[in-house]
Amino acid sequence: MILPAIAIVVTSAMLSSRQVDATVVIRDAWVRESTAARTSSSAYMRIENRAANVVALVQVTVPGVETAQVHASVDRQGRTAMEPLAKVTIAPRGSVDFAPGGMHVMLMGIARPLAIGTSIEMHLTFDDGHTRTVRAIVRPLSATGPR
Amino acid sequence: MKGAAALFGLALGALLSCRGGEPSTAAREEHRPAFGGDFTLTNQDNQSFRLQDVRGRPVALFFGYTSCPDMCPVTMSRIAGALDRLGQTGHDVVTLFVSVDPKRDTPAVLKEYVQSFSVPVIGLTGTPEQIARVAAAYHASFELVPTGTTNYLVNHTSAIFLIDRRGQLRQFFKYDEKPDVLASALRTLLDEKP
Repeated sequence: MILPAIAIVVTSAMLSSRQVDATVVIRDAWVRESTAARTSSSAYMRIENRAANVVALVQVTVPGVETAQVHASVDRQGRTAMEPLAKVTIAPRGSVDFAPGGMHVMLMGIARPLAIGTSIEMHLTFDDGHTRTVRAIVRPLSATGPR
Repeated sequence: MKGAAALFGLALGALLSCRGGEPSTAAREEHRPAFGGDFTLTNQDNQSFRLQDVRGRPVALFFGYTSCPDMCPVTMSRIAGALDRLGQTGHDVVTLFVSVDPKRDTPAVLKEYVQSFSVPVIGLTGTPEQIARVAAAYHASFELVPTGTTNYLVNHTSAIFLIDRRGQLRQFFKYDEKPDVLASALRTLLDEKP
């Protein structure tokens, strides 16, 4: 079953006093399929910060996955590498895209294969301590975007 | 050996970083890479594969591994995009995925992987020594990166290598080259006489 694009709205009532007007929206979360033999994958999404203050994503955890890390794919003189990012800052009224070939949530040690059309939960923690849960749609290995 | 492989990688990297834009036909001829060459590996059906086996057809080759979370699927999507643009004539192009992770990438794992893409791909693996030889021949390099868990990553040369109908390495591109540019280069190779 293909789920619609997911958007999580953090309402002001859910926020700390420091971020009374903060609103974070997470859209189009998706992840590549995995198999029993190939237990790694990548997840992507767009995080929109509709607040007047900076927000930073500092951690992602995914149930049933040994390691989930925010990474940036980099190409250094023709050689690919992945750099772990301690945090991802989203400017006021700005957004950040996690997209193929760039920033992504690297998943390693996926306990059960991710089947196309299902979805997984990702728990996102921001620097002010608030957390959000998003469901990422599982798409084919060859997918280049959320749809 | 590791140092030598790294130097090869840097040499290729320098060439890639200097590439810049689509050279003219004459420029391509002048700067034809003087490396590459034939090799023998094992395909996803556990059969011996020699580059000579596809002589007469243009080849797009890249190094990767099936557990590669991000860049390898991106590379495949660029190649698939280029082949889509070529239509029927693109069916003559052979796409080779050479694993730099032979420990995990058995023929069976490769078979499942290559079937996930919209264009035919031959997945290749071999002994660590065989893989190292092919990588060195193409001035490519790779390095296992521990993650502190039972899993590991592999940093590797990300270029897409184009080989002509005679088995000569002709050009290489960045992994995220625009499909239009790749298609144009492949069209040149397809237009040459077998």
